[in-house]
Amino acid sequence: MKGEGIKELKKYLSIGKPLKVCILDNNSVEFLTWVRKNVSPEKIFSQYDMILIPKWVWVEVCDSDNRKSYINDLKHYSKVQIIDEVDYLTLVDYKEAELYYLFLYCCYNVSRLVSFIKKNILKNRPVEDLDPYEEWLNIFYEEGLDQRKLSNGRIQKKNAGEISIAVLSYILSYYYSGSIDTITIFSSDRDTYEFVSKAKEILYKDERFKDRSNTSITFKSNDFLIYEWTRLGYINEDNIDAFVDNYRQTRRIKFTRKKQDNSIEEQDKLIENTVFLEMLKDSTIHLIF
Amino acid sequence: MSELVTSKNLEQVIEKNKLIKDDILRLTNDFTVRFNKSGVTGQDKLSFSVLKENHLIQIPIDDEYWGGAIITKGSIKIPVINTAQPRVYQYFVAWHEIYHLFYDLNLREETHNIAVDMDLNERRADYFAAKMIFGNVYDYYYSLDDENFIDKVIKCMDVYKAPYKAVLIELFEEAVTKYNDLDLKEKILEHFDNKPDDLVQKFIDLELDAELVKPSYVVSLGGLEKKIQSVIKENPDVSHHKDNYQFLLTLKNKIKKGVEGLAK
Repeated sequence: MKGEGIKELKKYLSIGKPLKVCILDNNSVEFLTWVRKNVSPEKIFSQYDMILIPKWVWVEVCDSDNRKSYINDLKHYSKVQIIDEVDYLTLVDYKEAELYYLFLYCCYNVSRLVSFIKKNILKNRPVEDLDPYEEWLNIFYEEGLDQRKLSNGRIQKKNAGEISIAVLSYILSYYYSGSIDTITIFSSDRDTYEFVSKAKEILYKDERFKDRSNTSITFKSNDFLIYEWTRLGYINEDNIDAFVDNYRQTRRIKFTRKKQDNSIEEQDKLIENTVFLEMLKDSTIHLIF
Repeated sequence: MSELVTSKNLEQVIEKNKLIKDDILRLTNDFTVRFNKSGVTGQDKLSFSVLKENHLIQIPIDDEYWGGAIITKGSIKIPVINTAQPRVYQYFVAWHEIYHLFYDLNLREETHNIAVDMDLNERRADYFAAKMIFGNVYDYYYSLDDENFIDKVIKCMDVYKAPYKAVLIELFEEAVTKYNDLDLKEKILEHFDNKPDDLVQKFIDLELDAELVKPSYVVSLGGLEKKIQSVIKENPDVSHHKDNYQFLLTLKNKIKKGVEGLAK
């Protein structure tokens, strides 16, 4: 999406209606194509006003026809938009320096990228003297991100999707907090979660951002979705064992559990399917990621 | 480090030391009580072991004027020591940085306090280092029966593992403030600005271990490797820890390659 499209989106984001926005990660799309027969996209997405997919993620989605057609079908239930990272600048009202910091903070977990950005993009200059956004974004994408060749011949850029999702979610969070009610990232990728969490930690301390109002960013991981679907009765009790068996693997889950005196315990641990099935029956549990 | 001490400002340095002496002696006592619980006796080992607990980074840097620093990042303070400098300097710098790490109010309050006299602050760090390193160097100096002044100073360097100028400053202070030893005072002023440039050979000639006046070229990145390894183990499904580990190894290799050039 370029030019006119992004202006329309900006207008839509600024009408002041409390919007529910969902951002999709590639790994979640893959998962959703598997479970499509059990849980229809309508059930999952009709509650959102808008589904956004950054272009760097869209490139990954398009490696599979299944994923691509899944997304194309979503247009029946919600407004679906693919956003070119170049257009992030329009979304932040051309505040190039702020956009630079959003990228920097969303990369903070990867030392090599931080080093690359400071050395090859900032180049020891004040942030006001940065090259135009489109130029440095291109350098960052082409030279900064690690790459590997996929079996289909496409070059995959490591962490591109995670970073793009994190930056987009903070743009929505900080620049459209007045009209966006919820920002939910559909992802099961721990890196995406950690990139967003790390950036939050730094943004809360940064003078440029810390006192601004912002909309919170939440996640729906695959495990979260399964937990939610059993609650809502989308997967019935007879099928749940087979469902988990087919579509879930041992994975680390971050969750809270309410104790008898109503205090809350935090946990973050590796959960096998047998334990996970027990957790699904336990209503004192809240999955975070 | 503080402004360059020369024979011209040596007297002023001693005057400054007088002002801070009580304070610094209190700190050296405090340090021993708080940080030397295991009774480590080698002062060189003690300073490094304390710094290592604070993620000391040791890297060789091709700059003879850069001994070390405390790098602050938010609330984190990381000591760095240049291992391309002779070991005697490293030992002294280690104590100097310990002062900054634990007792420098400038660093402790995070915000830079401009009311502090930077020169005096650096003098305090140097004086703290001297007081941690030296015992009674004046007596030791006179216990040596060498004829030659420089040979005696070198032997002091050897036993206290201290740099040339640090030995002279300490001797000078004793000579001036305690013993009114004009003869020694003259000798120090005469030699102060002419550090022998062949210290390694001089150590060998005196049958001393010359390693002390050579660089160690140690490369150590503050225990980061171990730390990353352990988070990788705890978080197998997070890929960025592995990336960071690779990046660290690349950096380390790069530094080691650079060292080969330095060490020749």
